Amino acid sequence: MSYVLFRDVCKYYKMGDQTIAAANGVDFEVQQGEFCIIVGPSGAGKTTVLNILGGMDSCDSGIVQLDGRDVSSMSEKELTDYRRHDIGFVFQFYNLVQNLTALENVELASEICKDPLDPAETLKSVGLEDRCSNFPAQLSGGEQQRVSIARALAKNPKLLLCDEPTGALDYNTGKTILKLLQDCCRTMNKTVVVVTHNQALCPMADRVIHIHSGKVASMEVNPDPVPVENIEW
Amino acid sequence: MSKIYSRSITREIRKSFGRFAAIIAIVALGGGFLVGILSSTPDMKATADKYYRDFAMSDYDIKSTLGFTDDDIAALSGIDEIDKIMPGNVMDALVIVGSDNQMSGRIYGLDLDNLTVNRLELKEGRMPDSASECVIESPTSYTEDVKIGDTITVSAENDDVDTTYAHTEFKVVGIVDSPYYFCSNREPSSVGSGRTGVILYTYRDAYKTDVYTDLFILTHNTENAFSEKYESYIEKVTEKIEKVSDARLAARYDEIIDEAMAELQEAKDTLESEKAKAESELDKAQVDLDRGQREYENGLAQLDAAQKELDEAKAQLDAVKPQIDEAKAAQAAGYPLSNEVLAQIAQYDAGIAQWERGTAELQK
Ligand SMILES: Nc1ncnc2c1ncn2[C@@H]1O[C@H](COP(=O)(O)OP(=O)(O)OP(=O)(O)O)[C@@H](O)[C@H]1O
Ligand SMILES: [Mg+2]
Repeated sequence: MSYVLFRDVCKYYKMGDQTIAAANGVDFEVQQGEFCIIVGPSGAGKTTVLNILGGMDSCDSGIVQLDGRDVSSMSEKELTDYRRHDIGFVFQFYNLVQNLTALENVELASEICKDPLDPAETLKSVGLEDRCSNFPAQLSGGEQQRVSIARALAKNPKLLLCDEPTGALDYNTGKTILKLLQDCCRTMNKTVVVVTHNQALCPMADRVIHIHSGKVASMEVNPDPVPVENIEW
Repeated sequence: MSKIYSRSITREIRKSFGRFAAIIAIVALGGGFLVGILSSTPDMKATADKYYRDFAMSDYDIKSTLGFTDDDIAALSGIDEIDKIMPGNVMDALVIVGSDNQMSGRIYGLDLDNLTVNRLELKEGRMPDSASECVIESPTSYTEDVKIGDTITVSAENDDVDTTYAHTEFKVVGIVDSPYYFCSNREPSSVGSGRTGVILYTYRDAYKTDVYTDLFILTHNTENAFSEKYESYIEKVTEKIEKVSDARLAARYDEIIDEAMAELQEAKDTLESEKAKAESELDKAQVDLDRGQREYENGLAQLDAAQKELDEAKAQLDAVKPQIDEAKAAQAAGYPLSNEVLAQIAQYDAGIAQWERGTAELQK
């Protein structure tokens, strides 16, 4: 039984008399503890799939399951609980609360869930123990993204979802972030799903899902993933 | 709200306190304004309702063309929801203010010493001492200009002035406000121009009639007069009043009919007795008449018999007449007559005289 399961998931957007199929029968699964990368060209439907998986959007048809629970049939209230307790989300543009320090940003997330990790410990694990009391405006983009990862991790979620986490970062910083995510997966045994359009990252993943025009074009399991330090692009 | 989240909010406020204060001020102003507007309707309703209550404004003014009696009041008093019933007489009539200012007036005949419903609030002057004085409703732009000191006279043009009013002249001694006329509207009138020019209150003694035209009723209602609860309360009471009204109307109708019937019966009885008396007299007269007729006929028969006797006597006399004439002629010639003949002559003359007398009598 797969940890994450997508079965024939469709999502349509109606724009006047034109219907856009953002997801048009998406089928895939991810096993627990895997580092999974979803790649595809811009507009393929990657964000759509990730949002449906993260409970931030609903699908029009199909089945979405996480750890045996049917996400696609949840009510609004159940979805809120699901997002709060089961999902950690890392956005392309960090989405930190500007009035709170790095530590407080992490605390904010840990305060609302059942079984959080220690905020300070988590910040330390992303290498920011010295910057705890800095506000987001006082941090670099990479540091901010690390805070946002710490925030997602502190919730101790079942699933860590990252939408283009390195999109706004330079090469080296991006690499650091990806390494952090890969380490989380390996050391904390988290299931991590990363959306990217960078094909070069595929070797670092346990599983790569290729999405084209709202469909899964292909899915590979990589028995021998490479540490991100060894990848160049 | 979580601790960290409120910290975020506090910082947000502290960072942009000017903007925050401005927004608070705008919201407060807007909120206050809105509250002001929203509360004006309930405030106005509450104020009006308090006024109604303070002056015991009637929930009902029931009018009857047949007139109300104390029995009607007693019947209505049986309704639990009814608190007070104040009877009165109200009529629209043409009145003359001063010497020649004619207008239509509404004349309230009330127990002014004991106004339990629609209490009057004296604004100016004093209350009337008797039914020859009155107070008037505060003039509005819809009423005529009548002042304290004016005299209001019920015009002789009205129907039945003599039988309706005990007083036809009222001196205005005060100005009052009644909750019944609390809004200054044109008040339609059943007489004259159709617009009530003056509303005046005096004692009920001003009216001669022994029935009331109006009953002013106050219920035990505790709801605001503008609420739906009041409407449904009144609806319920109205049903009860109508029930009583139907019964009383029938009774009152019967009463009036009975009165008329009794009068009719009395007249009929008189007629009958008079007729009987006349008939008995007639009968007596007939008897007299019959007797007269009989007497007359008797008389006639007697007369006939007398005539016959006379005729017979005449015939006998006529039979002896030649002998008597002969004897008389002989006597005239100087022949002595025997006593016997003389006696016969005398007897004859006496017979003639008797016959003449009898004839004369018969003639009569
Ligand atoms: N709210 C929306 N309304 C209408 N169309 C939408 C909406 N969101 C997404 N789409 C469309 O659905 C398709 C898939 O969008 P999606 O954001 O999943 O692409 P993506 O794979 O994440 O692309 P990118 O790599 O550029 O982020 C696109 O054609 C997009 O225009
Ligand atoms: Mg996207």
